[in-house]
Formats: sequence, structure tokens, C-alpha cells
Amino acid sequence: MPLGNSGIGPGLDGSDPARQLQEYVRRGASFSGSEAHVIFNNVEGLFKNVSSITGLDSKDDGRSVCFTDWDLDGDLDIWISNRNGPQIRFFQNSNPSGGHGLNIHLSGKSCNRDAIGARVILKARDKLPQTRTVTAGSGFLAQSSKTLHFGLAKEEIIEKIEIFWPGNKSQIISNIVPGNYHIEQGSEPIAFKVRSKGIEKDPNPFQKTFNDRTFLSQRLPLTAFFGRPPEAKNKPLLICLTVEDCKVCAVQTKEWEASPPTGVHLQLISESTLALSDPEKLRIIQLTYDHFFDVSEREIPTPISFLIDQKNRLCVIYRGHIDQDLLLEDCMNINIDGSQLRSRSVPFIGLWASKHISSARPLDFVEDLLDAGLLDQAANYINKEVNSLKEDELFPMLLKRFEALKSDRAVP
Amino acid sequence: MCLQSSVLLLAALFFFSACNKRQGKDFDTHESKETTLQSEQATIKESEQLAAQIESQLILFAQQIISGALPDSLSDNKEWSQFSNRFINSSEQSRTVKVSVFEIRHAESTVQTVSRIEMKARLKNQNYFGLITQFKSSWSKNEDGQLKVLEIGNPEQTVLNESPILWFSDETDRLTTTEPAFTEHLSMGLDFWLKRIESIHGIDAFINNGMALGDFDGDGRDDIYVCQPGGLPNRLFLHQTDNTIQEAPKKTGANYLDHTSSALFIDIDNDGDQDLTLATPSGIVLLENDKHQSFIERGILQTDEVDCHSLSATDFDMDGNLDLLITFALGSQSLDDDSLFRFDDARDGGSNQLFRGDGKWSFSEVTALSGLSEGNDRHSLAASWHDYDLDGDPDLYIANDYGQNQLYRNDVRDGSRFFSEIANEIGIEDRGAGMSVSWADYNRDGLPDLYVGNMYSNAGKRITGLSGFMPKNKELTKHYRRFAKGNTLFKQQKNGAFIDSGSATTMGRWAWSSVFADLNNDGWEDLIVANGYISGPRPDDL
Repeated sequence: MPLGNSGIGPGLDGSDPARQLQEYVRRGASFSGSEAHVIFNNVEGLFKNVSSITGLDSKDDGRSVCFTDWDLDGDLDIWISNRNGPQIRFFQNSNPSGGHGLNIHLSGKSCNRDAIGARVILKARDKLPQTRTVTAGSGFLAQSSKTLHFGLAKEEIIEKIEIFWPGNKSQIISNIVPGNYHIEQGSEPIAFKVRSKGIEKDPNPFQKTFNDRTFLSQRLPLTAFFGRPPEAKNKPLLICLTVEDCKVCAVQTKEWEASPPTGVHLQLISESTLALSDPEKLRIIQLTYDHFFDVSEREIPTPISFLIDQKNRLCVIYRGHIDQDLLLEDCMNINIDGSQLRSRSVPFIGLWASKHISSARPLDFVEDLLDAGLLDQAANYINKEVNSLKEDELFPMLLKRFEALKSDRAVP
Repeated sequence: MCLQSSVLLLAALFFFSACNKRQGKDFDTHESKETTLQSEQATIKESEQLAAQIESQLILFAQQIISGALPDSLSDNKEWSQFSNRFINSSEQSRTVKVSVFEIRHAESTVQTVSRIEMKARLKNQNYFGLITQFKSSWSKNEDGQLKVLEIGNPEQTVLNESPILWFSDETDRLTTTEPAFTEHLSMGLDFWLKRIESIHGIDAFINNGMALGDFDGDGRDDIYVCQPGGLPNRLFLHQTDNTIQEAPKKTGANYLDHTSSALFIDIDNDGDQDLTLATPSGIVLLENDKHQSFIERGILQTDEVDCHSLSATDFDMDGNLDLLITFALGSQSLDDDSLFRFDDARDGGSNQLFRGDGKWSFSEVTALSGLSEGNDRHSLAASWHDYDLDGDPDLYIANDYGQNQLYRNDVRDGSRFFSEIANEIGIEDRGAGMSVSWADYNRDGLPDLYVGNMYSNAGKRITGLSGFMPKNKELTKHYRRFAKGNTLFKQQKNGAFIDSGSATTMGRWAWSSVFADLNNDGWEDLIVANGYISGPRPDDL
């Protein structure tokens, strides 16, 4: 799946500004962010910007807009989906004009049952006609209600409505007043009824509650960087990076001092010590963390911990405090694979349409090391993992890039 | 990948200009790349820095207006004073100000700008009051590099609004508080999940996910289906009698974890209940509504591409079975061959696909057969069906990023349906960064009109408006300017051609869904434009 790759070509000068722009955004910058929604009021065919008095001017990076008369009070309410949280917002229409509404839900008989494509023209006394069409999919990634809504100013009297059923004769209805109706093709309108369905709520909607850790769906070998002491031979390794002035780190360390985590071999690493003794290793921890996600952390959350299995492959990334029960559970599941592993790697349960299950690609990780200029570490990694890397068809190209970078460095 | 709708060249320029405005220190620019841009960047860089300074000066000015303390030089100015008088005594907490410079011209020792100030506040009489005005100003630079305002012109093109009540109230909390799927998942936002879900599941910083309304449980009320990126479940919320929402139980089978760009509630099998279709990288997932209780998967329509966007349904051949159109932005060739990409006329997009419904859950892929393969290589973000020529069958408009849009007229040729692409012929190609399509008869003359969402960018307008911007290619410069211009309202004329009906509705900002709806029940369809591209955790903006 190409999501996450830059498919956009070179810019003005052969550089790749789009990729740089992506990198910029991945590091947390904004791009035309914090812009409020805009509303133009149609005043008899001329538009006026009324955004400031509509109350609709939230700034959540809106995407789709869907209309429906949600509370059946005669005016259109709005659901908006957003990039930022909350990812959906509901705006209830307070209709300051005091006008009425006519809602019509159509159902076709000799055309498609949803009557998609049906056009309805409403003629009110002394007014220009209003036209609405049943549509499925409009705007951007949005589907509004298929119930048609007509706004009617105060005192407006409907003369008739005419329904143009798709591929069929039109139908005229002349005695209708504001309200909610269902109209079946060829029949008179009937007042719209809301029925109670009462679908039972899940007693426990989240069988898996969200924890702030990622049980990875990929198994990235890390033998090159995290050695395993003899006493940890048959146990998963838990590497925990702590920093000074971090309350959670202190709490966690104290807990483990009192009672070490069971089932794993724990290695506590202090950031300040590592920064002095092996700064490259610190970069590798950051790179390893960033490798899996489409954003880069500005700072590593602390404490941060890696659970590494007996084959020296990274399995779980923990942010912050680790719950002992969760750790035990993760250790028990450390060898699952296939669809079981995929399910466990996401925070909520659900179904997959895709049958394809991705696996780790150590080659990409080496690319990350090269991007970061860590040539020696990359050499080390290639050396240790050459067998699995060889299986990747792009391995010869990787070696080429590596050699090129190495000779670049050799020439001052 | 999906840098959709960020116009590439402008993006590049913004990118470099933004580096100059940026305060943080954790961003490394690539020296070599910067220097190769030097010839054009020198003026742009300088100009963008000035624009940023002028904007901050204008914010101070706007604050003076709103607090009733106009600078001495303007205290005699009738119009500014009048504005200011309206705001005096407004509640301080209610005041907001936004300033943008969208045209900047450099003369020998001065700088001329056209700017816009947007202000709002709650007045003493409790009315909501808003003001948008455009004006010219000129500036000079002191020896110490400080900016000095020479003149602030009279307000022009002013929009004033006042209302005792807001049209809308945000009732999200009331409707969702008891719903764990909202509080634990949807309340967080994409940036939160980007750091917790592996990108291989189909989640990235530029991903877009839509939403659909339809009556799943047959109670007569619209329910809501929220699409999510890969690794997060889509959510089906049922409309309760008290108008709150409650997630459908897991056994309903609606919680797909694949990246879902859009979804539709439609009655595919014409049996009177709402089935569900999903646009995913694996294809179009077809879900049959089983007795208003759950969904049964009835197969996946395999697609040739994976960067899916819009899903729309129609009955284009009038056989009573619904047909499905799916659009794609990137194409598989986009990844291999950069040479095909032109930011003003990209032809390396994914091919959109039309599936004809044949009844009984069977579909035939008819893209080529129906004539839709004509020009089918653009980055298509949105599509909508509408019988624009009132001949009784639905026609198709597609909004494309990085290039012109398409209108496929539904014709009958040799006894079967055939689409002819005629956007240029009738004047609605709207070359730009198309993102959204909406049809309506906004002027109530009986003829369908069209509103197309495009990017609007102050920075883009400033940069492309500079006299030094790409001086060698006037034609291309025109196109680039067009890309930052904003939304387009097309009015249909009696002869079937469309005209751009003016500038009042162009400034929709970044503009995603840009759609018609009668919001105030006066019978005239208004416009709403959903906004904002990416508001990152860092405050600096491009």
C-alpha cells in the first residue's frame, strides 16, 4: 500500500519539496492549520460571509460535512468529521429565521428503491421554485441524509411539489404543509413516523481496553544493538530508558526495585549515562521508536521500554508506566503470529477486509539508519542480519547506496 | 503520497518561506537544496518575512480597533472609527481577531499590501457581531530594520454581521458523553493515534476519512457511520430517541479496521433496508443489511488502485439497480515515474472505476465500456452525480487535485449508455486543486449550478502575485495563481454553459467539503466550507 510514500515528483530544482514538506508536518508543524469553517449566506442569489455569527467556526481541520434534520424540528443540523479531535462534531441548528421546513423521504417502486436521482421541485405562492435532488455521495468523502429538506420562510404557502422519479413519469402533490413525510412512488404522502428499535447496547463495548503501548504487528530483529546477557537466555528482554526529572520513571524504577518484573530480564538504561557513554545508541532508540510510525516524536516519551523476544526481535513498545499484568500478558502472547498478531497490534477490536498481513522489513530500518548518517551502525546491522536482508529484492540497491555513502564519507 | 491538495510548487515555496518564519530549532534544512533555489527564493524569502512582520503589526492594529483605542492617525477616519465604536464595551473574552496579508508589492523604499482583518465579539446588547474587511496599507523599513506604517487605507469590501443568537450550537458533548467509542477513540484526533498505530496498517499524517448518514436500524432516523484510517475501527452510531448516539454492538459487524476513505448507506438489493458500502484500499466492501440488526459481507469489488477517495452511487443506466463509482488520487504509476507529474496538470493519478449494478449483489466493471476511461488519469478527490442538463439521466462531475476537473455527460450511443467528457466545452474545467463537488439550484432559476472546493491560500496568493514569480512563463503563472485562488461558484446559463459567478464565495480558506444547504430555512441554499488542513502540535504554520 503506497500510503505513507511520497509519490510526488521532484520540485523546481530536482529536489523533493513534497517529501520535505511531509517531513516537516510529521515533526508536528502546521500547514494552513487552525482555519475556521466558512459559511456564506445566500441572500436571494448573492452570497455574504456570515461565519462569525453562525457558531460553526470551530477549528478542527474539518473534512466531510453531512446534513440531516437530526431532531426533526424542521431545519438542517450538521455533522462534521475532522482530522483533529473530536473527530466528529454535531452542530444543532437554532434557526434564527423562524422559518419552517418540509422533509420528504422518497421511496421508489419502478426505479431504485432509494430513489437516488429523483428531483423534487417545490413551488410556493409568489416564490421562485426550489429544487432538491436525492444524492448518494457529495462534497468531500461525505453522504448527507437522503431525506430532502426544503426551507420555508414564515407564512409561505406550498402550492405543489413535483417529483421526477428517475426514468419515470413525474408525480404532482398539491395539498401538503410543512412537516415530515414519507412518499412512496405513486402514493400520497404519509406523515413520517419514528419507530423505536431499541437495539441493545453492548454491556462491555471494549473487550480490549486501550493501553499506551504498541504490540507491534512486525518483528524487527535488533541483535545488532541489544546484546543479551547469558542469564537472559530464555527470557524476553525488557529494556527501559529512563531520564532524570521524570516522575513516572522514578515511580517505575522504585516499583521494580521493590519487586522486579516477572518473566522478563530487565535492563534499565539511564538517558544521561547513555548520552555520555554511547550517544549513537540513544539515537538508535529514537530511530527504532520512530521507525514504525508516520510521525516523528519531537521528544521520546519517558520512560520508554522495548520488549524483545528470545530471538532478539522487537515485539512491544511501551510509553510511560508499565502495568505488570499487561507485561505478563504480552510475554505470554509474544509468539503469536498471522491474524492473531494483527488483531493484537491495534488498540480496538474489529474486522479486516484486507487478507494481506504485512511483515517487518529490516531493509527499511537500515534505510533509516543510513538517512540518519549512522553508517557504522548500518554496517553492523547488515552484518548481523545479512541472511534475512538477502531475502529482500532491494538488498543489492541498499548495498549500493551504503557503498556510495561510505565512499562519500571517505572523500573529505 | 497523499499530499493531495497541497499544491506542489506552492507547497515547495511555502515550505522554504516557512523555514524562515519558523522559530523552532529542531528542523534541519538541506543547505544544498536551499541554495539551488536561490534565484527565486531571495525575493520570496524577504517578502515572506516582511509579510509575517506586517501581519503581526496588523494584529496590534485590529486589537486597537476592537478595544476602542484607535491610533491617533486614524482617530479622524470615519469608517474605522465607526467600526471601533461598535466594538467598544464588547466583552473582552469574546474578542477574536484574524489578520491575513494576501497581496504584497515591493516598491523602491516602501511596501504596499492588501490585507484582510476578521474580527468578532459579543456586544454590550449581547448580540454576536462580526466584521470582515479588506484594506490597503503601505509600510517602510527603518534603518534598524523595524517596520513603520506609512498609511492604512480606508476599509473596503466590508462584511458586517450581527445576530442576537448564533445559528448553531455545538452539541457534540451532550450527544456523545455516554458513548465510550467517542470518549476513548474519536475524541483524540489523528495526531494521537499516529504515534500509536503502525503506519503499515494504513494510517499516515495526510490521510482523510469521511462519514455517511443513513437509517441502519429502520427506525426512521438517520444513523451515522464514521470512517477511520487503517488500524482504527470505523464506528456505526445509532440515533437514539433522545437524539444522542450509541454505538451499534460489535456483533453488528460494522467495525472495519481497514483504512476507509468514505462510505455510503444505500439499498443495493432494493429490499427496503440500508446496506453499506465502504471504499478501502482492498476494494469496495459490500455489506448487506440483515433485518436491521447486522451486516453480512457480500463480497469486495476489487479495484485496480489503492489510494481510494470518494464513493458515490447512482443509477446511470436507469435499470433500477444502483451503480457505484470510486475515485482514486495517486495511481500505481505515480510511484514509479516522476516525469508524469506536473503540478498544474498531473496525469499520473489513479484511474477511477465505475461498477454497474446488475442486481442480486452482482456488479460489472464498466469503466472503459461506458467511456469513463477518457482522461481517467487524474488525482480525483471527489465526485458527484447530478442531472445537470435535465434530460432525465445523471451526469458525473469529478474534482481533481493538480489539474482540471471533468464533467461526463450521460448519453445514449448505439442503444447503450456512454459518457462524453465536456467540462471544457461548457466552461467548468476549473483547473486547480479540486477537492469537493456540490450541485444545487442556488439562484432558483430551475437550472442546476455547481460549487467546487479548491484550496485558498494567503501565502500562495502573496507568492504567486509577486512580480518576480516565474517571470518567464506568463501562462503557467496564471495557472499557479489560479491554484491559490479558492472555491468556484458556477452558474448555469440557459444555453447549458456555465459562468464563474464571482468572487464573493472564493475565500473558503483551505476548503474541504464545500457544500450547498439551506441553513436558515429561507428557501435559498447557503454554502458551508469545512476548513483547515493540518493543525500540528507546533504553533508555526506554513
